[in-house]
Amino acid sequence: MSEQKKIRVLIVDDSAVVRQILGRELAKDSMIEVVATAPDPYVARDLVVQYKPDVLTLDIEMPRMDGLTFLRRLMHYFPLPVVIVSSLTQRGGSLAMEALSAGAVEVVCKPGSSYTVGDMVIEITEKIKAAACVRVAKKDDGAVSKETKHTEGFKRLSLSKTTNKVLAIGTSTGGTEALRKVLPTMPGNAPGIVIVQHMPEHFTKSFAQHLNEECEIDVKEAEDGDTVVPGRALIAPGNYHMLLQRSGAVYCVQVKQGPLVSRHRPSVDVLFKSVARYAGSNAVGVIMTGMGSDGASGLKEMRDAGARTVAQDENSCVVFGMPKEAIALGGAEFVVPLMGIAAKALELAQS
Amino acid sequence: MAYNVLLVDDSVTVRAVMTKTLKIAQIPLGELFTAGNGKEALDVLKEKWVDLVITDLNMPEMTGFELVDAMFVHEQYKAIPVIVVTTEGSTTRIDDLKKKGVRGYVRKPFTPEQIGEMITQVMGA
Amino acid sequence: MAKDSQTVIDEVFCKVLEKQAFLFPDKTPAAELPPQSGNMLCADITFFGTEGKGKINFYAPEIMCQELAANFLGIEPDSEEAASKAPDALKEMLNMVCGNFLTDFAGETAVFDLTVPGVAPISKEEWSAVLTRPDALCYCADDYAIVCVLVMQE
Repeated sequence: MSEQKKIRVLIVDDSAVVRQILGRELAKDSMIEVVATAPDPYVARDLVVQYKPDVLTLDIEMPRMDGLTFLRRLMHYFPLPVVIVSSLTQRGGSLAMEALSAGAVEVVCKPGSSYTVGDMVIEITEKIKAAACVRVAKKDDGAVSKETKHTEGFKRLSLSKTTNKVLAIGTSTGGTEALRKVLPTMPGNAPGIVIVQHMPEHFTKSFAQHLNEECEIDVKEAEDGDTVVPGRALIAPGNYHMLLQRSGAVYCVQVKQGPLVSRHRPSVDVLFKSVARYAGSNAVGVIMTGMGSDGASGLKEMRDAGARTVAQDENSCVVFGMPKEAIALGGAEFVVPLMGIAAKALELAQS
Repeated sequence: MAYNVLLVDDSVTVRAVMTKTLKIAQIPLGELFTAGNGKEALDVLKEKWVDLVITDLNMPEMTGFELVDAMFVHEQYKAIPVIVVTTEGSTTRIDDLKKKGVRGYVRKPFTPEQIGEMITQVMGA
Repeated sequence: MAKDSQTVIDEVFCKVLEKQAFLFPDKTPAAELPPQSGNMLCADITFFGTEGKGKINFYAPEIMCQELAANFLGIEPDSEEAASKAPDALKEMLNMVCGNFLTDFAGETAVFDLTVPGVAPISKEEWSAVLTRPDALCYCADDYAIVCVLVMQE
């Protein structure tokens, strides 16, 4: 068995303390090698050219320099997987969303009152490993404005008969961009959608707001008790689990704290299992790009309960982890490329 | 830290003088790219990561005015600082360029000190 | 009263040549110019604006342009690089004189469009003909002769 190559990481942060701590802590992981650290984007650029790291961590809120501009240029000239580090503020969340749109693959929170440096190190280590699996393509020329580019080629789908089926989606690394391709094509009468996207707390709110602007359906971060109705998508808030419940003829969601499940919170397994229990065959389950296996057994339970199920195909996945596991367990009835998922989900919802 | 600079001027003499000037002015230079007109400059920007553009205005094929306009509507290029080095003296034109976002202006003939100061000011070092 | 264009161009010409090229021109009547050897070059630039339009020509020996290039670049005048950049150096001198002339003459807010300067060799006959023009401004710098002609419509 061949020796696994270490993941070579470049840390970009204007705080000397952070560079030191991260450098030291990451070095403790046998799979990671910190090749260099940089205090600003210019140095970072030169080091990228020099060291050709596998992954770059980037503080998106450096006061003197525009981290987002640096990221965009990096994605244009020297694309590589980037893990964004951002604070848990409104502004931080918003910047993180833009960074993900610009091509960053993961986002990690800065330490705060309820989130220690130790927590952050664990999370950033995980995300660096996830990011290292990602294939990054050169972002094409930004000559056309971002807005036009994103909606170009979008055909809004249509649903002839409104259904009260529930569409449950679970995704992780690469999921934000995948959801931005799937949800905007949903027509206003699309089935009620419940989504778990692995993402830190507070970021899910910004993410939902961004998506809401791009979609005909309503997209919001779920609150405990929200109803699941056609034309609306609920995204599980970061750091909470979301479960489907049924109250008479109406579906709603329960949002609650709890331990990590399948190493995640929110967990796709938690959501999918509750959908299997309360919606049974009246559901469609979709598992998309992401590392690990969260959601694999949940999708299988949904399928066993009579739901129709879909897994994203390898070619269109940023990381083919969760879908792969789901397929291996026999939970996926269909394997579909990203661009066909929305149509397939609607088709199955009508069947 | 080192800046990648793109020099745009149709005069080969000016490009040579500018290259020397940048070195004399002790600007931390990374890679230095040159172009003879606005269109060539855009070709360089497409392929190379440039931190600063120093450009003349009066050039064949695509002028510095047109280059500035093209850069400022481009997702990637609009954040790149531009310094105009030119014989153009009309304050009307210069103010117009500054309103568009050009960060610095140096009149020809110039001294190395003027260039050095302008770059330091614009790059915020 | 505003200075006339010939006075302004004379001032600008001398100022730019001194500042940029380290050559110190003296106004000299055409008849007293020292004979020039080697190729002669002519550079031209045209300007158009609401405040007027016109054309400026420089005429100078190539060997002087080579020295111009050398002075710009801080290299040896007899180097290959100076020789290859000689015509371009003359164009750039003209470019700078024109730009500065226009602001000194028409004021800082006036707007002009300039053509890209051109340069070409001229024959000895053409050079002699230029010297006979009443509007030719002739200068001597070291042993070089250099002529500037401004034609303007206001």
